[in-house]
Amino acid sequence: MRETNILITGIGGQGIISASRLLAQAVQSTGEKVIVGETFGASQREGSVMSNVRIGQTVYGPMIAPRTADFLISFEPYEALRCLHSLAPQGIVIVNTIPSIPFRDQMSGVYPPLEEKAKAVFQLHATQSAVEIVKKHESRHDVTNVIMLGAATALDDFPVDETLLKATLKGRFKQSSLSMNLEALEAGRALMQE
Amino acid sequence: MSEKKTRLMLGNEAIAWGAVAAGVDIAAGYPGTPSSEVLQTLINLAAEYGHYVEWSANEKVAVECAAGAAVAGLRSMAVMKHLGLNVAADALTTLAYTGVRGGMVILSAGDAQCHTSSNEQDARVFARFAKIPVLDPADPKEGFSYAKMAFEISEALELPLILNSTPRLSHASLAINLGTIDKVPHRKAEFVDDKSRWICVAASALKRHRWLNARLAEALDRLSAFPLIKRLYHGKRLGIVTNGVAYNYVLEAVEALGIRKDVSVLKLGMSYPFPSDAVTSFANEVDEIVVIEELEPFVEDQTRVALQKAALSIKVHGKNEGLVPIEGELNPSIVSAALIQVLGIERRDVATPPFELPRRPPIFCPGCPHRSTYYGLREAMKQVSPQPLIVGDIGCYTMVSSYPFEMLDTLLCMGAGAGMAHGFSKARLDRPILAIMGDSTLFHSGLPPLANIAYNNSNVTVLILDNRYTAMTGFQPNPGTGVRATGESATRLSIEKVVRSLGFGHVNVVPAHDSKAVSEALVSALTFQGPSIVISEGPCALQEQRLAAKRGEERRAPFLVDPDACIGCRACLTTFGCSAIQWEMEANKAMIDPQKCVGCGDCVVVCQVGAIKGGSDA
Repeated sequence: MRETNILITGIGGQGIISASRLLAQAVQSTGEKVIVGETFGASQREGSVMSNVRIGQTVYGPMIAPRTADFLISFEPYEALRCLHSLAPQGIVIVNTIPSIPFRDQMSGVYPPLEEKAKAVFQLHATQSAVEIVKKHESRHDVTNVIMLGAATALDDFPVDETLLKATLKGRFKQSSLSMNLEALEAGRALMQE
Repeated sequence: MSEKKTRLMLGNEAIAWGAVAAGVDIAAGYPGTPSSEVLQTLINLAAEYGHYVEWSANEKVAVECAAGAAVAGLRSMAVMKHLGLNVAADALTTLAYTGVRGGMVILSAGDAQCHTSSNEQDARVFARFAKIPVLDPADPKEGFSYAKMAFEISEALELPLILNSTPRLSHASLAINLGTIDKVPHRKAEFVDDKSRWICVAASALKRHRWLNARLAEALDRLSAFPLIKRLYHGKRLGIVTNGVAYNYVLEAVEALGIRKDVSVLKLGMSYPFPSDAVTSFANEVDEIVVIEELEPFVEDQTRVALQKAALSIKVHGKNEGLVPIEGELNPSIVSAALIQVLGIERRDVATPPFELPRRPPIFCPGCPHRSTYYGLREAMKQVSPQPLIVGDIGCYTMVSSYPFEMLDTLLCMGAGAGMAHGFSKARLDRPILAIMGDSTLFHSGLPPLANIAYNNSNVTVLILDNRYTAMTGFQPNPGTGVRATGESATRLSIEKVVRSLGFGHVNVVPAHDSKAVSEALVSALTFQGPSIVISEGPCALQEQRLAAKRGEERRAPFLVDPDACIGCRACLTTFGCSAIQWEMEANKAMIDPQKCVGCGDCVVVCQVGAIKGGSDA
């Protein structure tokens, strides 16, 4: 199998690290070699977070080199831009549309619309879906991350399919929160059909 | 005995498992990114494997704890980030002279690129300075095998040993098969009396220095059975000598450039003592050498020395000629570019540069007691003239340097705030001096400078922000927390009693969430002539929420902005800076995000027109 690089980005608290570990766990359960490299640090306090998921026998280091990411899954539009230089020429972007504007910039309006910078992207209203699902299940957790992963499974070339992700979720979550996460997966797939 | 399944594991977890597989008896550490998960994993495994584990007051104490155990014949580990080596240096540099009986491993997690650190010093250089061997694993799998091997090597040499990690090992995950991890019976401590060894002073110290040098000289012969060196490919044109995580980038660059036939790779798993023979025999088989390593030209310089000693005249490329940067971390692109240049091959397309985007500096969490404290500090500053100099320290509270506070004047290292404040005061700087310090920093390295301020009657105010945890690195407990690493309760050290006993008379304890009380106490302290202290108490909001969720408590109801009352003055955004308060561009008013608001109500006093409502008013 050729090498696949998946870059997951967003801001602290959105579940990026868990999403990347979930994905890697799914890949690992098939026996394929996978490496995850995380960049976080003080990012729990609203900073940028990046997680590199690298799949294939010829991957060694945890970092995705510029122009080699096959998939860029961003939980926040501007974090997608921050990582766009990592995207391979034929790479695919899946992005949550709701911006989280850095605190000091929210009054200045310096955040230009995403469309000005990038085109070949799937834009999903993942945050709204997550809020609805969480509300319905009366949970205090966020499921944006599972929606984003679910959306990615709708792509033909994505290394993890719906069945495998479902199986991984079943191994990971207790019955009480499993149904909410499975619903999030389906919601992500549905958003890709729109 | 238990057979472990293959599973995806963080480098730091793998290192901890390596220590457990080696039968570690005692582990101690001080939290610091990117090292913290190593000790946390050992804490999680303590009940099952029976080792003792603690978060120590600082890295020096952790090393001394491990040293005591290792001198008594036990296997011990001290865990810290690279900067912790400096704190522990006094103990480590002489411990190399006495050596140890049981295996002792110091895990140092470095931070090339300064992701979360104030410098990117190279632990390998420290190891040579302290005359302690250093192992450099390249990935989480080696994190496990090297950690296990490190205890055996330490025992074979009777020397403590540094295991050198980086963010790209500590925070990388790989599927790892741990194999069988035996629950070995823990060793019984025994002190073998030897005054000429364990009392290191004067004549005995000189003798021990000779012993150490002899031991280091013969180290490589003693370690010949350990798999520390890897050879790859058989190309003649270029020999690549590499070490640590840089090895992965070399492999990827060689694949990407398709130059397997042109190169040979020599990977060194130990960079001090330096395996000179392996390098010179490698050099004999290639036309030129390039050294690819992160941070200082450590392997490169030692390679030059080894070649010179062997009277080999061969070109060595690397950092000294500017081919590879010394600053920042490496990546496959940098390594590719270096190999392209040395081999003179055609350059591939260059990546498009990243867009210029607004940065995301970290800010205080909703409900954070520090925000309210700093709001009180800003109010106090309005009443004090001339403006105080604010001398910072390391912790979440350092973010007073960020928007919207931006009040910090200096920041150096753990404990330096109070120490430098004393210096500014004795230098007769014509301003009041305010040092800020957190609870964990106080117990780490704040006590000596506080004693010094009080004893020398320095005109300094120290603001202690006591949030009861070492919050930034993951809420680890410290002596002010009231709980130990493994969960049992302990007697909290009272910071007020501690500072009073150190000689401070002017001491005020205030609740952090009452910014008015904070402000009044600070004005009183800053206008007082002589040493003074304000202790602002309020537990970390994130940790409080985690504990409340565990207890099954309901979330506190969010506050809200009454849109009819809000006049759009933005004071809540520009002077308070809670990420739950947001600006609605179209309405020209502030609003509170109910998902983010934790219901602390600290913002109520900020609004001059009383538009923020909630709690009992709602």
